[in-house]
Amino acid sequence: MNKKGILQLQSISLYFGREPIIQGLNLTILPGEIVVLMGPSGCGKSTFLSALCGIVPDQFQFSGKVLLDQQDLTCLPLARRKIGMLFQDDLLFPHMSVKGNLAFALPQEINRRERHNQVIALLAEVGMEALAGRDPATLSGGQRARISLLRTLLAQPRVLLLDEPFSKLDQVTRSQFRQLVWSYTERYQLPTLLVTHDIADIPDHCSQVLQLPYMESTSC
Amino acid sequence: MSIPLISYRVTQLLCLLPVILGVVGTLLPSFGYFPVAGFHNLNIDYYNTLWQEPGFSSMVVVTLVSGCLATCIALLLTVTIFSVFYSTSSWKVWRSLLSPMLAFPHAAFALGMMFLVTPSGWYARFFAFFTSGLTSPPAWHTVHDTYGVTLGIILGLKELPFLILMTLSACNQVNVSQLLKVGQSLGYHPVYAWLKIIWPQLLPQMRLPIIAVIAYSFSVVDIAQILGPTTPPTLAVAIMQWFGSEQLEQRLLGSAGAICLLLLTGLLMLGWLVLERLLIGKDSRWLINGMRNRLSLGWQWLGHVTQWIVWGVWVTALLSIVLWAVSWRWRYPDILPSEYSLKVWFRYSEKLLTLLGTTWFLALGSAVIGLLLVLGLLEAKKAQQRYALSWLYLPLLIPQISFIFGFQWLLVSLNLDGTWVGVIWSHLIYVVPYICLALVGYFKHFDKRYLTVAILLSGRSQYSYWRIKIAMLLWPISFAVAVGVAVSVAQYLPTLFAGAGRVSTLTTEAVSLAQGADYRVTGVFALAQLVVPLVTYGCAFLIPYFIYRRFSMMRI
Repeated sequence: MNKKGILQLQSISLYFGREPIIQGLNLTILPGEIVVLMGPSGCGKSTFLSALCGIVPDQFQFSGKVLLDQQDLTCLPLARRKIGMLFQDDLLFPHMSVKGNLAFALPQEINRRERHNQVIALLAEVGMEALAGRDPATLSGGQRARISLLRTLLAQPRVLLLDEPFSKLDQVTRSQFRQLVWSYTERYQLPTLLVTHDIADIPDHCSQVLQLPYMESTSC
Repeated sequence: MSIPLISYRVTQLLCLLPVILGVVGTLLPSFGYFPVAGFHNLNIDYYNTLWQEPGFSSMVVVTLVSGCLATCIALLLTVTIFSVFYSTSSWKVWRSLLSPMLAFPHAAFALGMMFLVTPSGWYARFFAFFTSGLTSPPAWHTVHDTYGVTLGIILGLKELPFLILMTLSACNQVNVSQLLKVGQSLGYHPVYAWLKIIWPQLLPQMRLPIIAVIAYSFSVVDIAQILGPTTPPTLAVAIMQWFGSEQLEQRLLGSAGAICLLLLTGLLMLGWLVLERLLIGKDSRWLINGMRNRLSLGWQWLGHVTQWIVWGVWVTALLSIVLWAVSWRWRYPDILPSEYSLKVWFRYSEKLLTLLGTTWFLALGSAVIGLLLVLGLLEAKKAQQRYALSWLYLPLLIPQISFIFGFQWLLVSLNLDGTWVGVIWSHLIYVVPYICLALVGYFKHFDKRYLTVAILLSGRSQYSYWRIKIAMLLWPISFAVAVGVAVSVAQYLPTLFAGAGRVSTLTTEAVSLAQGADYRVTGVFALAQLVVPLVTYGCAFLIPYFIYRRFSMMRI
């Protein structure tokens, strides 16, 4: 499904006004590897992920290079970065059915029938094919989170950025959803950057945990 | 240059140029400088003539009375309705009535009210029916009264839905339900919680809409022509008559009058700012005098009476238009017509269809162009800063009559007077700010992450914008188009001046027919005028409803 990629962050700095959030971060995330970024609420974790996508709010200054398989993403527009992102909220499009949400992520060239088949096959894989025609608002939190993950994967990203995607789920669902996410990152060998403030979210196989404001990296 | 920036600049050009050049083009003639007509000497003769004009002081008094009354009534009603009915069962009714009330064109509303309050109107007929005393219309000065009181009251009633809409939008920026709970926990009756906690926070946000109501009430021409005094008329009507005169000197006099009206309106706006400071300033003792329950039942009672009066007036205004439009014989003091017919419709069918076509074309044209401009504008980075779009509302703050004459000369010099383009441009000056007002809050609160996700998923920015952001905002967008159509349909002076007599709409025709004696014909044109915005509002509701009926998050 995905081409394996290596995500490299070179000399990354992020400032809020004059206040440094990240200074001179150099980081390499290999295919299937997970790096965790931790920090208290409001310390700039989500802004950092947005900045990796090229969206830097006015009050912030971002510098450095984001490379994916040696290709510099920094100068590419958001649409061409091939980044998959999951947020705290599932952000399912409320005006589309589950199937519509998933089909939106499929490449333009795929014809209608093939789109339908691919979406149904993917839903069947997680035992949710019966939900294809449903209004997202009628799904449970766990179902919505899973659909959101499947939608992200259907777009065939080469990097996965996770912005506290587990924080709004209850304990049981959260644990199941974590396992699902880690299984997919491993299966598709996606370099993954997870932002969280909950230690329980850190997977056993994570390679690094960074603390914001960034001073030094700490191995797991 | 990006598309949003182009849109930003084009909108600035389209909305500000007519106002700025229009005011300059009115100011210079007022000082005797009007080269195209052979007036080259700067002087203040026309201001002197204006002071000496018979009835000038009465015109100013009538304008002040009707304008202040309209603003006060609209504001007091809005305060009462929110304070008494917010989040009660009546509130749902108010919210659902808001769109049809907004859709009611000013001229049609004035005609409906004329059918009600004239001495031979519906109210007098009801009075006669219940008292069995009035066999002929009484000699009451219920319309065209000397001080413009009726005009002020009716204008206030018409401005009410606009202020309610603007207050609703302002409520989004204040945590009303939490503040109400806090107020009630401190022992304040909800009415007092509104008056002492919420309104002081809302009023600064309502500054622009209130000033817009002042500007409109002082410069309104169509309603004043239908219901206002005639000898002398309001200043705005007199100015229009001077502008319409064949004697060029009279037009210069009109310019002087227009500048006076501008100054007068400016003074009243300043007056409001002072009053606002007195009402909600830090030193306002009444806010902290501890009063929390006194006369609260009286407020409630007053609120309910006001509510029923307002609903009654609006419903009877609509009914009277419908009845006159289908009546054939309706003698005084009969409560209902004795004979119904569609003969008047058939007699005027050709004219009606032509005017309906023109009105639709102008309204849809300006609403769609206005929407595209606003969509671009709202995406422009420049528009994201606070107060960045303040300039857009300038046309709403300046009396129409004070720049429309200058704007007409701009159109003449561009060879656009009397053309569709010219008329649509004149409508856009108002359509764009109203569409922007209707959309800005929704665009500001739209969760940008949806668009980020969509672009990341699809790899296409434009596609994601239309397929996700615009599709998710279809409700407010279609409502904004309906607002745009209603605003365009209501334009009287811009159509008259930019159309140069060659472009007529249902509004211009309905106002001119109001001077005639045949209420049946007036009723037909008023109803036809009403149909355009009502149908648009209906579509604005039904189209998104049918598209999104399956998706619960997309319901209103």
